[in-house]
Amino acid sequence: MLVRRGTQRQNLKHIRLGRRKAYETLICQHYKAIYGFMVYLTGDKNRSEDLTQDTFVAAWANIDGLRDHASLKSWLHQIAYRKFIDSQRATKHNRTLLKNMAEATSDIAETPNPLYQVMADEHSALLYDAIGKLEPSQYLLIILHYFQGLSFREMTAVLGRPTGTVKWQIGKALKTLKSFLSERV
Amino acid sequence: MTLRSLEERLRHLPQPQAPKTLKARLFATIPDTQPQTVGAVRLKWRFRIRNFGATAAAAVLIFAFMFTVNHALSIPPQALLTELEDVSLCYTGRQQHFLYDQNDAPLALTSLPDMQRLINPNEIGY
Repeated sequence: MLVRRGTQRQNLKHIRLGRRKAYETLICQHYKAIYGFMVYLTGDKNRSEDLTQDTFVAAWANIDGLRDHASLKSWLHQIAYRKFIDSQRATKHNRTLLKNMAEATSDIAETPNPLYQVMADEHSALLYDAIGKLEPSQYLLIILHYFQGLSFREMTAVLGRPTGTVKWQIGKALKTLKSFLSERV
Repeated sequence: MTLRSLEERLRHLPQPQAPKTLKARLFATIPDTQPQTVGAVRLKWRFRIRNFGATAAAAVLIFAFMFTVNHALSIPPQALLTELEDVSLCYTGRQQHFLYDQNDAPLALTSLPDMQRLINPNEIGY
């Protein structure tokens, strides 16, 4: 564990020095998590790939902003979340433009939701369906904590909310989710 | 269903798999030019300063060692002077700065440099 942490710290030092190989290692370690996060947020394969790419490009450009190795995961999630919000704004802006130009919004490419692939069994589908009904803020908390494995402290860094608030909101989201599932059963 | 079992189910839900081409795509987007960030420049300078410091410290240590060795060899300890018995003069700690001949008669009140000069056989005429 200590050796691994030491290696990671060494890797981070190399990234800060601008070494490409070290950054590739970082990508290998985190790209699946960031892509998964984007899939949960966008529900679109192509958009998730684009946003994952944007996230890592932004991370490479702003590697100076990273202070501590322990916060690497939350730092990447923070960038990813900001990229998602930016893209949402841009999409809304584009849609308004298209509306104003009296063009069909269906021109925006829609690709199948990658989440459908993981809803193989009935239980998973039921649970994903219930999660989808949560409020966006609660949905985000569930994703970050249970799917992405972020601790409360890391979530605080990503969302900019106090730890106590995050804990309370997760508890509330769980209760809501439970009530949704009880209704179904 | 309890909240704990719900949490367990959430943790074990199947996750979406990343496409195999994504990794290569991400690698391709890293610019070849390395970003010379403020932190990188600062870090490089920190390394340089640290290296310089280490070199300087090593040099000082070597110099100090050489000086100590040289000094220890060139100046004999004072105790040695009191143990020189093969000369006709003797010098005792109890009667410092006095020189005596073989009959224990005091020769002169003298200082240490004088005594050193006097115990030199060439100077006393041996």
